[in-house]
Amino acid sequence: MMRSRGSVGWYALMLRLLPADFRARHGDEMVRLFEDMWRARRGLWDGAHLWVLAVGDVARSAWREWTARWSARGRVVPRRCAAADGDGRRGGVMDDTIQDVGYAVRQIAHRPGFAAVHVATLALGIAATTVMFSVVDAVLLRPLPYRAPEQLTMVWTGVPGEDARDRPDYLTFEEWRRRGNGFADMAAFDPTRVTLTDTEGAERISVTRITPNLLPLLGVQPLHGRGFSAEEAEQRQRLAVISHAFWQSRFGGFPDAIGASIELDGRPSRIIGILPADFRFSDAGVFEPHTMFPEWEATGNEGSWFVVGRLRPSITLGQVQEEMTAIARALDEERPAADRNRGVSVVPLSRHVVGPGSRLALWMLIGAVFCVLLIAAANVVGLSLARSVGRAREFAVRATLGASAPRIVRQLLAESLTLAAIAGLLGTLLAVGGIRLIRAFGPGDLPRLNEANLDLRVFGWVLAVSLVAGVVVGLAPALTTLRRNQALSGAEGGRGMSAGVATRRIRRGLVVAEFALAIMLLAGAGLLVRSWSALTSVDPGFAPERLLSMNVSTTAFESDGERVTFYADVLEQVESIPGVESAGTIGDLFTDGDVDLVVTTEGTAESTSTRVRLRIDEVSDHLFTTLRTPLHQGRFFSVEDRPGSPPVAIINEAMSRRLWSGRDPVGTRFRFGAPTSEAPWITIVGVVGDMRRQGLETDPVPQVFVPFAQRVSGNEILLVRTSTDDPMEMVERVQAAVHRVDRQVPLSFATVEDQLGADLTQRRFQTSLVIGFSIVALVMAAIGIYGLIHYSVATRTREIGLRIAVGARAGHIFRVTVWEGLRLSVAGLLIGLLGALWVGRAGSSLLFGVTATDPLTLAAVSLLLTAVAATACYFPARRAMRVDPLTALRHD
Amino acid sequence: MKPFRYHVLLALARRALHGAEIRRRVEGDSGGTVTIYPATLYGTLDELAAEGWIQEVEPDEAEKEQVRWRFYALTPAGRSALEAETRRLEGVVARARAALGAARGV
Repeated sequence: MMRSRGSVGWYALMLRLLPADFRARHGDEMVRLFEDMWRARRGLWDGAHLWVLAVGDVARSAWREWTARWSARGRVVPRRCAAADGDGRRGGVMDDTIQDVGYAVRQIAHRPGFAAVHVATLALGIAATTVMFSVVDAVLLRPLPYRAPEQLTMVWTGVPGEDARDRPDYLTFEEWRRRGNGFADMAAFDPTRVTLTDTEGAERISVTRITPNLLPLLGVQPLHGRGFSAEEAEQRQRLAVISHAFWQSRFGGFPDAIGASIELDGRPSRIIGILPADFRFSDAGVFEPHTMFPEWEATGNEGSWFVVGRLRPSITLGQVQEEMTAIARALDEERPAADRNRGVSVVPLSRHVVGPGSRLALWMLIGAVFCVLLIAAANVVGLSLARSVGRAREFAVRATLGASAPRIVRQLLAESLTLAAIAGLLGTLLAVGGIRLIRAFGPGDLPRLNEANLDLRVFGWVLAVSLVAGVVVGLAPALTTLRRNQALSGAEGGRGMSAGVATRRIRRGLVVAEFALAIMLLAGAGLLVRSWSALTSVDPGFAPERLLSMNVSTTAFESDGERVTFYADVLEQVESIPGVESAGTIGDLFTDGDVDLVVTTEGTAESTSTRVRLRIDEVSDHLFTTLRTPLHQGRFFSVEDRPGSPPVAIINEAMSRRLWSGRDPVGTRFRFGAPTSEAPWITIVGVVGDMRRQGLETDPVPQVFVPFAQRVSGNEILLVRTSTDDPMEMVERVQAAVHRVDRQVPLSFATVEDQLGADLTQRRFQTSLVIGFSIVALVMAAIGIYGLIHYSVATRTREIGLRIAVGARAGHIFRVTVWEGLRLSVAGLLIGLLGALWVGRAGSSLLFGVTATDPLTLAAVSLLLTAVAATACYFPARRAMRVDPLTALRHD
Repeated sequence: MKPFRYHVLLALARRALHGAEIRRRVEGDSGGTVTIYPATLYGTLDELAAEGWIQEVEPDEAEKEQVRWRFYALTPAGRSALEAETRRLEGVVARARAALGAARGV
């Protein structure tokens, strides 16, 4: 089992904490022993319990073994007393350790304020990174739940070099499958929607139609029952394999679902298999043989099949791409000239599941959260450094009493590790809440986000981050202490001037780094906010307010004639409802699908053929009026455009620009296919404005609209322009109107505004996270610089007092102090801006309507940061200005 | 003597065992109340070997197929340490019984 292997693997990794000789002697057996125990666990809780105890066990033993080795080499001060008992062989070091930890705890208790700030800062940083890591782990890092997922690829067609991801027709898929030797196998699938009818009524559900070899190709075994055989698919038997979720919701998880019958599009299908719960290949509830499409074998350039392939074990992606390119070229030769130039591109399945946009955004978010963690750590290091200077006298005393330098360093490390451990614990608790929040409010269209949880990998992450933070934070003061230790004398270490010079230099560097990181985050946030405002002010080409959208499916109808009558009747009924201004239908309003078609336009001299990526939709007469999409030329459809009358079309501006640049397209004719094709000529009767139907961020593609009477489909979107501000209020009346025409038709409702908003959820998620991170970064950087200047003023009280005593003006003192801070922030700013430019360039595809070098944004965030830095320096500077020379000089 | 050490010695009292068997035997001998985790187990084995109370032995012929594991057996010194500790514990138990009985009797 995957999980077990993973767990044991982690255990084996953890054993690296133990000394090498111990591992060499016992490592193998320990892993086997753990494997035994892991296998014998009962349930999740038992597993977690086992892990917690095993971690403690290894940690304790690691400590014991290592200290035994160190003491054997006599590196540590001789132990003070031997334990009386025979077991006290290693007592000396154990004693030291207990002493260290005890001392650390006393120190923490002694300065609770310091400890609280320290822990809170680190915990925030750890929690934020943990949450982001769990998301990235679930979405990007964890392998897909299939056998050898790295061998799985998607195979697309499209113009070579254009990165087009088009779907091939079935014949092309068959040819690929037959000729492609680099693939162990290839399968095809196509998601669609059908009407499920049961005793409670009719409902639209997602169905994926698959070739019978898809499940074996993925390496997925049905939980119960079986998949389809090739013969059954060939015979077009109505069989269904259902998803685990569908099984649970429809059959309550009872095994008698196997053999049961469900009614899809008015005809019964027999359930023969149930898929396991972790099968998330598509969100479909039902899987059917691919032959369920009436026109499944249809050829031509409008392919609809998604193709997934499994590479042979020793074959690389590059090799198979090369082979497929050659096959595509050979297939091209067999095609009509106008239809050639169809390449193949092979893409890893994981890249298909999470697209490049989301991928980049997530890596950027991880980068952002790391910046926050670094700033947090820098702050804590600064804090500890300041504190270690204050404690110089204490260390001097301890050294005089016989503590060796390593012993003092160890003690400092013990302190910071103890604090880091507390912070890690707190951070984990915060992260649990954070992950819940993200899963609840994160973008629903981010694949696999719902798999994010606090599992062992994430725990390992917390452990690693806390450990590194603890060591780094402890190391800086420890090392400076060590260096100082050489020249340590009891006389120094009060409020002396020289004690903190080295540490102050480090702290200045830290503050510069904090500001550099903060400005990078702020610049990113600023650019995303600008993108957001640019995006929300984009004109979609139609008016989405007060517009109700619903899916009206007629897949269960017998003929196209019935459908046309049905939709016409529905429109009439709906438009007669009081409160409805107008209504129209369209094949699909929002879509990510366009097709690569050959279009032949009739010219005065001769016809020309062009390949165009476009979108064809059937629409009703009042659609454009309902959408408020302007007519630029010609006319809308009318009752004259019926089946049998000459085929007509309305095109959008993008189409007009693409094929009739500069000429008036109205009245001219075009046909789909090559000049020789038999397809009917279509007359253009109108040109409408462009609509952004593939999301606000995507430029409109050429679009062709035909009257639904001349080309109807089983799925239409009914759009209703209402006169109420909340169109959902009209749902009941519209539903009643549709059901007056046909009771059985399934409906689903949404407002167009919500649909447009859903398109923005990922961006909203990214933007709000980055804003949150940059606010935290800004506050932490402000605290950092405040702490530094405050401390610098406090340690130089005597010097400042002296200066004032000899006649320096208060204003001068103020300016010098503020400048001390501002200088650092400006240095950080400049470095950070360079970084921001670089990051901006890498992430420019995430921006919309603004460039990564946008001067306005960069200037604004620079100003903001400088203002914050100035404010943070203001308070300590005011304090410096008001130093009373007498008090200061009396200070020692 | 530390309880873990006692339990490990006790587990080896009858015959030579390997790590996984020792762990199971300890759990069985203690009625499931003592679970010994891998790192502690092997640390304890090292310590006991250093005391000279146990030693590594060649497995029996019957157990040759389990050569992946290393077997440990009590030395005479280990046996007498186990006996001494058992006697001491008996004394402790007797005193505890008496004390509890006396407490109940009041």
